Amino acid sequence: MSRWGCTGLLVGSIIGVLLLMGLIQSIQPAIPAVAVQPAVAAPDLTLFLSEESVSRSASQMLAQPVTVNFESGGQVILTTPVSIAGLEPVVDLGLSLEQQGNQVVSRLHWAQLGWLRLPARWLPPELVELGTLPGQQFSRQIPPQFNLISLTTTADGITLQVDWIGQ
Amino acid sequence: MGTEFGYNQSSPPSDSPGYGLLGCAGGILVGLLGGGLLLVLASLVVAVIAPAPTLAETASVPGLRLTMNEASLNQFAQSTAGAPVQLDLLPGNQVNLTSDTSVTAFGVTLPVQVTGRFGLQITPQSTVEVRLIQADVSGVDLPPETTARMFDSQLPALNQNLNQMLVEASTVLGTPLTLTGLGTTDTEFWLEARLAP
Repeated sequence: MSRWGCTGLLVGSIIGVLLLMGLIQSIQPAIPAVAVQPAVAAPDLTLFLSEESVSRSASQMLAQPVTVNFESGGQVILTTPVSIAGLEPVVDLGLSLEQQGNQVVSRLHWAQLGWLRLPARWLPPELVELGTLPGQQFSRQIPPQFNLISLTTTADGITLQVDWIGQ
Repeated sequence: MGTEFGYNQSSPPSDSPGYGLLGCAGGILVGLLGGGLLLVLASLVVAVIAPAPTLAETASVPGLRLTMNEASLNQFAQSTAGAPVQLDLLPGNQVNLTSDTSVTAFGVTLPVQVTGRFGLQITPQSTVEVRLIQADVSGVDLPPETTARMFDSQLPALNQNLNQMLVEASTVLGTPLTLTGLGTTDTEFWLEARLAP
């Protein structure tokens, strides 16, 4: 091959890799910050659950190891093995937790496999469906005598504030 | 230009910037496709060989903390007792309970107010224990031991109910809870627990 061709191929490869990195960077999805209800000064009942407690509960529910990392603004990263083509890679799932009325709603925004972060729209529906489970689980824990008034997340865990509506 | 084969032989390809551009285009394609493929494969390998997620225990953060204010405790007590009772939280793990009721003696029904001061504590078995500290009945004159006995039948049931709630909480979390703290202020009651290892 000619000297010019070799040089061109080398430069082109570097440009190609840089273009790929730029492309990946441009499609990097993030978890949108959700509108958080301000914490109430004196709710009837406040329940704080640490990351560890929620992780254990999730592990028991899914019957597989799960770790849950909370961030402020309703952002949650759930790490768990997911079955893909007979393999069980450990995947990070980026979720948002939001209060909607008396319900806690969770939504999947991205999944990270190794260094590759894919937006939810590229993921199989089963995985997107899995993202709604944490919200459903939290909602199920709120007894009918209580009304959810606030949900906040911090790096330590999740705080739910409820008011007694009595029965 | 003539040759021994009788036709014009073209000269060998000369090295020119045109080939460089062609190589560059090919390189971009190789970089994009090859890089993409490598990234996918490497990511999959990294994810497959990654260890299963393990729980990080933070000693400074309780596993669970429940805080109830006085008003809601009163609503809860009234709905479960089915009678007008008034709880008054006191600092130092104590609570005053006042109930208006009536006592029938010798065919006469007398209105009385029963007041009990209770202490709350965590037992070595990691359960919550409510114990009577002092009891008073206004309206009738009763010996102190008789007054104290008025709560004897209710306290075990109350303790059992409280601890049943803890058992239910541990079932939801999937692991036994160890109580680590309990306290009261003038307006709040709080309970802390960590997950058993």
